[in-house]
Amino acid sequence: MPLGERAGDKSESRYCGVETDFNDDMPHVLHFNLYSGSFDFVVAPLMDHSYRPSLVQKDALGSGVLPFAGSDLVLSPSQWSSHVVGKISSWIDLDSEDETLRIDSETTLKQEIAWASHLSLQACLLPAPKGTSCANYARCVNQILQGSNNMQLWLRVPLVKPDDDSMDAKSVALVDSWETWNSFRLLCEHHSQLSVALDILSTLPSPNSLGRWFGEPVRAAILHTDCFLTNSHGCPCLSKRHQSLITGFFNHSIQIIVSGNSVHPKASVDANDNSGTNSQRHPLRPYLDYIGYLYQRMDPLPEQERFELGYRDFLQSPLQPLMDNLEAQTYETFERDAVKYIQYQRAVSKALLDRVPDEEASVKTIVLMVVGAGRGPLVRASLQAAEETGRKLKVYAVEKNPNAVVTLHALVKLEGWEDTVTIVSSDMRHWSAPEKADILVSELLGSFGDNELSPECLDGAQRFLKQDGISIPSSYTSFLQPVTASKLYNDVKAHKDLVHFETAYVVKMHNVAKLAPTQPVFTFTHPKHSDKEINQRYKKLNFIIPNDTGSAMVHGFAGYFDATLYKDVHLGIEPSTATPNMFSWFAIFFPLRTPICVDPGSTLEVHFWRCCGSTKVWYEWCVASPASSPMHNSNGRSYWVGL
Amino acid sequence: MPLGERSGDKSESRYCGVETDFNDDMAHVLHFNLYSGSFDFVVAPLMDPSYRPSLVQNDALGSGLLPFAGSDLVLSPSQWSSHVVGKISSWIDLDSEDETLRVDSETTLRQEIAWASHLSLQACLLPAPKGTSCANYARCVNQILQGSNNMQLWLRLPLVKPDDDSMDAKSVALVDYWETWNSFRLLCEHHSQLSVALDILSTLPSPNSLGRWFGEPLRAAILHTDCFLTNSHGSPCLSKRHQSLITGVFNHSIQIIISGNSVHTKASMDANDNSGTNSQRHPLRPYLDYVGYLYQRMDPLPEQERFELGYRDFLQSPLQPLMDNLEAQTYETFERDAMKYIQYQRAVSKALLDRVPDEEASVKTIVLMVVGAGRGPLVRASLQAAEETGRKLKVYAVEKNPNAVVTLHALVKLEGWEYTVTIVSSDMRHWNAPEKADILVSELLGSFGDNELSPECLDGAQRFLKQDGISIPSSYTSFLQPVTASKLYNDVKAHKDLVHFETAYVVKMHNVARLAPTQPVFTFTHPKHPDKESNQRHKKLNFVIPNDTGSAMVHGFAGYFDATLYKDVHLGIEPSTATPNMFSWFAIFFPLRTPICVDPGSTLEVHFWRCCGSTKVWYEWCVASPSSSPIHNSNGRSYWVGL
Repeated sequence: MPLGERAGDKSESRYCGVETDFNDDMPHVLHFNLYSGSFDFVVAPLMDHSYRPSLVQKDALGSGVLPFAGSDLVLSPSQWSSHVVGKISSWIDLDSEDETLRIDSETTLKQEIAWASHLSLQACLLPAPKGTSCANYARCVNQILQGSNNMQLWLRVPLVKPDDDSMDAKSVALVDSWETWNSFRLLCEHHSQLSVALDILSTLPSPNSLGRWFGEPVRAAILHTDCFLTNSHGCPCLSKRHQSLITGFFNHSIQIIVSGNSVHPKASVDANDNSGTNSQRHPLRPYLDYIGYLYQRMDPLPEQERFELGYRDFLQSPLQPLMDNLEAQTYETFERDAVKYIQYQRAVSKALLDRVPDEEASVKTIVLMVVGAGRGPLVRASLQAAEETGRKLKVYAVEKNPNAVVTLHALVKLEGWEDTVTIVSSDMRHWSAPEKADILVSELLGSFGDNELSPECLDGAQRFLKQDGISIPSSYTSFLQPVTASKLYNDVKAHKDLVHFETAYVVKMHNVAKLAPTQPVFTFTHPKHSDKEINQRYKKLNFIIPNDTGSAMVHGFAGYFDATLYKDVHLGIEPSTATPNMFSWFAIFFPLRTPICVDPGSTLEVHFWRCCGSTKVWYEWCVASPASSPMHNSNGRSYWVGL
Repeated sequence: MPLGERSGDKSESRYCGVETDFNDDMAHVLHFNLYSGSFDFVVAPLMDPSYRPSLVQNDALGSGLLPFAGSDLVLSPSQWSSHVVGKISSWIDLDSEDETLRVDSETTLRQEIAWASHLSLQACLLPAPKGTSCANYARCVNQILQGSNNMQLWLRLPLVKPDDDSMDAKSVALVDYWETWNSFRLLCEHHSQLSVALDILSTLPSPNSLGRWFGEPLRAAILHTDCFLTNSHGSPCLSKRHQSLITGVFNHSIQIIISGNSVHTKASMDANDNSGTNSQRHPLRPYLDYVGYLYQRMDPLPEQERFELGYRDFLQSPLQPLMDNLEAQTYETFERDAMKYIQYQRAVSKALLDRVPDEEASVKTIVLMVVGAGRGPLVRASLQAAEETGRKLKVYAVEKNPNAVVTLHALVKLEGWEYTVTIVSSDMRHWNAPEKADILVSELLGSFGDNELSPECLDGAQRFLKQDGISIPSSYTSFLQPVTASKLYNDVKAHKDLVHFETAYVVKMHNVARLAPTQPVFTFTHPKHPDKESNQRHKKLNFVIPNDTGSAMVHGFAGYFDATLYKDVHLGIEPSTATPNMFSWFAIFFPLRTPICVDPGSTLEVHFWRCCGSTKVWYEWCVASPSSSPIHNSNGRSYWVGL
């Protein structure tokens, strides 16, 4: 049964499994673990662990039936499918120097997978690679993945990484298991059905090192009873660091599997106390109870987060607001963002107070133009600012979308703004204003700041401004950081073409590892002071991956923006300064055609260009170091924003 | 005019160019260098070197004409196209920190390329990248390459590489320019119109380091007059190492360009001596004469090499001799290889002498089966061996191709072999022989030894052999080595699909750099001793790239074989032991989907598998270190050999 109820959480991490030993009585295994133990599924060996193909051939007396854990008839198809993860024999060593063992391993792996497929299991757990080389193992798994079944394969990986200061004390054999995983998935071409099951041990690597895994396709975390401490009541519990890690798993839809023997005597005593009620109390039940306690202790998801659950890691093409007319639903969604308009109102208020001294408040009228008024939320925010500050305002609402203009007219009539607001149905780039404005207000920012062509629009609108006029926003800056984002990469890759690898996407990033702090990229200031200043940009960025992260895969870059609306009034999504509770923008994702592996402590050199043509604007990007990527989106061939 | 006549050489390296200064009288430039100097083409600046876009905009008085070196009308289109390589301004620095210089460089590069395109030049010479970063330069060039013109762009690079022992004495600024080239071409996605022009200076890096370049798209070598020494007559000459390099340049179709001022006083004096004959003797003529002397001194191409010129670096799909019937032309070509059949005859002779003592020669008859007899060359070789050794022979010629069987019958009749040779029209795998054989002879080897399924065929034929019978060949081994092969890689890439990147090709490799010695891969021995032995194989190989090579790109692997026909009689194409003057096999090439860059002194870990299914045999391959590639040809999805 689920670990608990948490409003809005429909994810897999509500279910907890248990690792079991080989037992050819599968109904008993299920009954004991699911009904007595209250686990949701078992990770059970499919084959007698003493079986070896090469030995079978020598005993020619056998009937030829493979020693699986019971026939497919002993459980119903839905029981096999929903409650059993097949555990592939842990003795197999596909990269063994011993030829016989290696060949036996290949044969057995194929047999067990074929059986699991026959049973329609949803997933199988593959044993951890044993040596430093995993090429033959990866090849055999890749052959299976290329087949036509839909089963998930979870590669078991111990969560091990030697810290720098402990390197001297440990043998060379202890490698960062992330490296093993990385080799394996590269050899298997980032196959979407290949995932990771992490073995959680009593010692954990650094937070940076752990953070890498949240961008990888981790499906399960196998929690060993050895990890647990004993509390004052003699019950199992976890250290603060382990608790934090488990919470991270819950938040990333990663299932917990409890493994090992009971190592807590109180747990055993408790088990005995209940012998009258149940024929057999499950020895691992106390561990499950503790995990359920951790789950239930988590804060409920905020309403906004619940609303956005469906967008997690979902790639969306960015809007083309200059080229396309937005739909009512799009306006509706953006207008619900109260925090955004509070910030605009605050900015306009400050500007009004700065431009009109108190003694002139009753005689001076500020001319304010909202360029790209949409259905009017900026007009409303500006008028509220005027009311709040006691300043007189004359507003021009400029909008090119004729459908939104209809709405604007209705709004003006409804609110009685006829004497204050003039609606202009025109593209701001082509309109000739009857008078100069004191303030330009616009909401032309995309997730990357300038990617919805705010610079080009405001250049066209600058002629409306008085010499000392101001723009809200007064400036905006884009930011980038490298990310591990296996899910996003695989979704892009699924399109099987170049165009999708050279397109930027708007994404609510969730299963993503941020590998280095963001850095600023392009900055635009309005009004511009030099008429000659162009909107083309070029920036070279160097990201240093912390030493304690270990190696990591860069699948692409997460992009954000931060805008200064006016003086100290900010608005943005750059994580370290993001405006709280604002939801108009998700991050933007620039994928790499081929992910690049960076070594610990090394520098990732990235180049970004913003290019302008007569009809379109586009970005080009590449990695120059540690390895050079191709130039992405050369000449805007795949992704561009139309003027 | 060409440097000289060398029979069979039709390559570009017969022509020599000269680098010139800016001169707006292009007609004079051509006349002076081509007719007075006898050069074949000029590398001439297209634009006044003092031109700067940002300055032009400041002088608003200009007429707007760009200061090109004369209009397109001063030379005929064929003169522009055949005799001029456009030299892009050397001052441009596209990765400069100075914004003005960078923007000027972008503008100028575009203008000059547009002009060169207008003139229909075949190639332009791009200046060497100036700093350690070349990302913006590569981006701008990539934009040009993505355009629709057919012009070649030659990136200038100095042939400089710090040797390890000189690293301490030199600044960090002195980098291996191969690294610069590698970054640049990766950013430009290995574009086939982007090539290299190497500046040859007075000091040269190590032979291993030089060797890398012959696998790269090297189009020109710019020979500076500073490289030349002075001989006892006061004329320019080159060191032994430079001579060796120039010979390599000639053999790889790379053109020489002379650059610099005359630095030899004798040369100047000679120029003056001829003032009566020519209005102006070209000061660089003595350098051209010396280069021509080096060319003429080269040995003529052997007849076989001339015959194979057309196959250089040409990818061919391997044969499917088990699945397809070969054509007469194919048989004809293979049968011309006298050396191969000499080796077979030698092997059969030795075997006959070993099996039949002299005293039994007149009474004992050896039964010999040629499996896969084709049109009979092995039958002939065997009978000649019998005649040579005075042994009695009974031959069964087994052939499955009914068309070849027709030819066999005619041959037997023609040669009067009716009493000695029995023709069997059957697949050796299905035939039932009337008696056991002493010797099996076969010619089932492919370029990689076992890739035409010799093991599977001979397994099927082993039942024909007496207990102590032998097979010719008795064993064969495949070999691999990593190669830089930019031309081959680009040809594979041009197909734009996965299948071609997972196919092995038969290629006469020419413009290829062999990065490490070959290593043995798979070995097969016949007859097999345990009947159970399978033909599946897995091998892990570690290639160490020598430190003095510098970094190198691995585009794939060259494969070869060596066969022991009988005892010390060998046959093969593995370079260090190749049978001289044999031409039945070219090497085999296994491409990598993404080339892998290896650092100097590092180890390249490669895995190869030979896999067998019920209807086909295939190879899978991958690189595991320094970075992991995908597994190529998983499950034989792209390339396989049919049983």
